[in-house]
Amino acid sequence: MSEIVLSGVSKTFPGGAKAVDEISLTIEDGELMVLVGPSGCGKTTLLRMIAGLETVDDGSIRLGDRDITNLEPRDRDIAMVFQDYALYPHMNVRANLSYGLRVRKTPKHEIERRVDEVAGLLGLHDLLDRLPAALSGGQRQRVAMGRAIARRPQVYLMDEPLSNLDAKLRVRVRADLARLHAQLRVTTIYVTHDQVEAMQLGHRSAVMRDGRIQQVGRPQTLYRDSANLYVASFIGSPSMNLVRAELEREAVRFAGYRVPLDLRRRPPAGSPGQVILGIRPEDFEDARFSPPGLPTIDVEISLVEDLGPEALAFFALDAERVEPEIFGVAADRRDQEALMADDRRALFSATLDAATAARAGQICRLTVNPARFHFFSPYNGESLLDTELPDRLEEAV
Amino acid sequence: MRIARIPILLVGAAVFVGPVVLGLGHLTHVAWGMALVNSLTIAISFTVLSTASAALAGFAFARHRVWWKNVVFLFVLSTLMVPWIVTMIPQFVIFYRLHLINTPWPWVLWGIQGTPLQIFLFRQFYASFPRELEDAAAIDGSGRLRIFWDIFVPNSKPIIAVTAVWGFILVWGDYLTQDLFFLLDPNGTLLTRITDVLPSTTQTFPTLPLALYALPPIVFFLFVQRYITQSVVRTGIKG
Repeated sequence: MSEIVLSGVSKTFPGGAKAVDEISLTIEDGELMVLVGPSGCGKTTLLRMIAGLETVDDGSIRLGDRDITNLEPRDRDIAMVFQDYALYPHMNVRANLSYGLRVRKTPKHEIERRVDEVAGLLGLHDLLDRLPAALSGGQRQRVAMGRAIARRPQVYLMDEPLSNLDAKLRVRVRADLARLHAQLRVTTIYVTHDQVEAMQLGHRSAVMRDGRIQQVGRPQTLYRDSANLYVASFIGSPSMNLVRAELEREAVRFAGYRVPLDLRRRPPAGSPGQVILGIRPEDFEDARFSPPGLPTIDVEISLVEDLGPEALAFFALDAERVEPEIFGVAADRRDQEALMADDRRALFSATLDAATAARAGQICRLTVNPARFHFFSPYNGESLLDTELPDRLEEAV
Repeated sequence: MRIARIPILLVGAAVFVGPVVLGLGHLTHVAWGMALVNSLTIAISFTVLSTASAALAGFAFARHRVWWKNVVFLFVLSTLMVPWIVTMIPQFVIFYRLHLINTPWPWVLWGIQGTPLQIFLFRQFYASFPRELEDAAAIDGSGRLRIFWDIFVPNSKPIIAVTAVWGFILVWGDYLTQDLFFLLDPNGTLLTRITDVLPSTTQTFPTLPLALYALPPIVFFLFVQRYITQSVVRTGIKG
């Protein structure tokens, strides 16, 4: 068993910055858990605390049935893949792969067997006698991964291992990684700032912000049932459209539109009349290409970006823009809205069928899917829906 | 395999080191032979010991996580401000009382002590050493000394070369200390013997012995200079 249990783990850096704030999280045996959040959210610090490279101010870390909170890194039986790989520059690939085994005085034939096995697994056989300086970025990345695997630890920790690779290679290595994990079934904690990576890799992901966990769940849960405005804006690209809305018994009013609700997905009775409505760009569609029966709204398109498989249309709504910053929202959304900095109106984006006739300056009829609406409290940004329901249902099954 | 190595090493040592030892023994009977032995002993022992000591101290000052390390480091640096000549007489008295005058032992002890400049150089070098390498080795299972030996030392060739050359020249060219601490030894060191035979006028200055005396540091420098420009420490990092 190599389940990791964090309970109330905290860390304050000298100077008073609270990097990790009472985090409690259980990573199950064999699970690939992704910690995702913008830079400075404490995800790397948390990982280094699990590795033993940072001290724990408060709380405890358990690995299996051992309390490892205050153990030295070498006594924890973990391996880590670093963002910059950290290969030993004076050792060739073979020596890099076997260093941890040699330090632990593994018998020689066993070392040879494992290096051979790892080299086979990662396709490193031809590189074994090279120094890191003679390797490409992707090869170094594989050696760094191999060094962790050769040790056969109870847990892998990965600190943004793909961030130094170019975009195409990253996609490939990410697939390799998922395959490796499926093969090895070792508990893995993976840190990234890239929500796409989190969505593609994780059994579960923990979205972090300011040293706290915002929501833990499967990718679909984070996407469909975001716990708060922060998670809603962070997960998904382009990010979720937000607008102030008024909730009625069977409909929601926003920006002069009135859209009937899906009664299976609405805030419980007694919720405030004023809400923040969230609609993902994917839940809009050009009315000509969507199944009949969905409610429609007419909008004036201000910009269309043809992305190839689909088209991204932007339109302004006759409503004040929701400033999600008050709830501390991800940076890429701010970048997007900076495009329309002179306009105080809410700017929506919609992913439409590539064959759409929508053109800038024209009125276009779009359908929206009320079964995918998100509702947030305008006071604290928390979701008004029961976001834990899907995970609970899944556990029950 | 491992056991078989020991006799091979012993035989090798006998074959190669034997003649050297015999030759050095023979040197003591040659005129100035003992002076040469003394010079080489103090220069080499000081160079090796001071470099090793400064590397360890620099590593501690750069990487050990204790709050008072910078206070101690400032203290070490501040000794640079005390002119060396001021401590000369007291040191002479101490070594005289310990019966270490006319022996290479003062240089051995000074070597173990290291010099502030060498410590400073190592500290600056290790301060910019990539932290990830240290973290990676710690996770791979190494303790602090093992990290120092396995990771830091092999990647510090440039700074080892610089401090070693500097240490060697410091002793090799230091006439005053050698003259003082080998005061009562008729053999003296090579440097004191050469200057002993210098005539009092400069017209017939014997340049040849002095030029020859300058050769060892030059050879030493030529031998290590290729390391000085070499720096590979970052090549394991990033793409």
